[in-house]
Amino acid sequence: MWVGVWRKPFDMRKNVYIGLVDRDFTLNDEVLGYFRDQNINVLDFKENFDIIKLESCDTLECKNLKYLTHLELDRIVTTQSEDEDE
Amino acid sequence: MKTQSTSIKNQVKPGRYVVILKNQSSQTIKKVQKDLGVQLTSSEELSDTLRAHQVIDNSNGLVFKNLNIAVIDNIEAAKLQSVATSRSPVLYWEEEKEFRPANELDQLREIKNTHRLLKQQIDQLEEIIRSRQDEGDTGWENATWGINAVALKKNGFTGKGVNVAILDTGIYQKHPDFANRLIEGKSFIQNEVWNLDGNGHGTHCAGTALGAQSAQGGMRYGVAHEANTFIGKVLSDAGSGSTSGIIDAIDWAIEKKCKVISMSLGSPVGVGEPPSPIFEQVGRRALEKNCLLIAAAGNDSRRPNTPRPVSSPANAESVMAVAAIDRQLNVASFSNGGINAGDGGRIDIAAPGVDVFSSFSENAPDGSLYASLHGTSMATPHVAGIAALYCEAFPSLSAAEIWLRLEKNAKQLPDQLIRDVGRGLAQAI
Repeated sequence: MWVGVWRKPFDMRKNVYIGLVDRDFTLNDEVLGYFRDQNINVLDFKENFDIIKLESCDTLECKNLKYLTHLELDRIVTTQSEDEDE
Repeated sequence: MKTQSTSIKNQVKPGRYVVILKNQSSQTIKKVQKDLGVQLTSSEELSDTLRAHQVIDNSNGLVFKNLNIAVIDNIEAAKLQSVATSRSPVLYWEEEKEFRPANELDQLREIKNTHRLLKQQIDQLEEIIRSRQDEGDTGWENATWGINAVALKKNGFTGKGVNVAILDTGIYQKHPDFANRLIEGKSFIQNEVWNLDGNGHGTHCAGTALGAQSAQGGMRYGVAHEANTFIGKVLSDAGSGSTSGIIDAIDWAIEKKCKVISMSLGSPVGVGEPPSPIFEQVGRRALEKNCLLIAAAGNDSRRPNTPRPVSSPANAESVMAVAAIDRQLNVASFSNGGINAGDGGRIDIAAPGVDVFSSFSENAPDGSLYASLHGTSMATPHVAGIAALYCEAFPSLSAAEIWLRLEKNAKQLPDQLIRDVGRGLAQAI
């Protein structure tokens, strides 16, 4: 019996992205439907900042998607104390 | 000398007037001569043998070429007054004044008098400054070197009434130094609560910015000890989180009306890599909502050989980037610099970031609930605490104006590069 840890193949892992949208952007059914058609989950929308959080198994590019003015991967951020970094 | 002085003095005579004429045309000269009953001679006729005083004495008046000015002798003011109508060629007149050579002793006496008055004023000013220093003495005997370096005043502002958010690994809320504090918090990390802090980093940063006036042992380490404390747990107990979690927490802190947000966190940036438009937008919107974002410049440098660029989010133009300095007020070896300054990634200000004593969680190395740490993480809450003092002192100022004041009042560090310490060492108010 196989007892190893099963890992998802790389192309099945979901990437989380953060994107900028225009100030008049509204997260309505039409927008949600569009992203669903692109196999993209909308995780969050910060109205105060016009920032949208997306999730997808595919590699996303801003130029290929409607509504977005900028898109980047959600980055890892760490503490900035030497004791822990070194 | 004395003879000459007397001679000049004698040249002034009663009844001698200086008159400004409309012009020097022959028609004007004739009219003036007729109206005043005087004879005028042009200065063109003067020579070595015919001097001005002779003409004035003998012929009543002298007209100076090109100046439209005449000096007229033996005339009464009433007569001048009577001809000085709107159509008169006489525009203005006044009695000749006496000029004496300056008396050196009189001048010395005047200088001595001015010196005495100045000394009195300087003494008064010194007294006022001394009394102010006594009131807000900055020389703490039992405080961290950081508290003294930022010149925190004993009876100065405390951050009272100002909402400040620390976005970090949470806080150890049971810490005795925070026991009587009202703290509001929220965790943005799954399955971890904001008020335990399994790391200790967040408790340390919160302690520096907002911690108690004195630690249990008596050491003063908190800058704005009466500010309202908001804790956003955006980094796990392992010390990491995500950009999206931080944005979520900033949104929360703005909703909570925080005027200052301290972020002792970051992710490295490559040389020439521009800042993320995401954090630029967040920083700008925060400023619009009167909230100042302050972030650690990052610890990727290995000076003196390898300074590295300011990390994200501190490299965004609208986020204040804080560098770390040591006790000798030199930039810390690990502190990132404004390598990508052309793209906005400059250092704005510096603060103590080496061997910084503050509160810690229950997993402190020696179990004492305190620790001394190094990092731009430690410098950032110093500035956040100071910003809270400014917010208390100037409640009507916008966040952008508070930023400018912080920079303006920073202590210049002449031996350091602006690239490394920005406007200098942040100073309390």
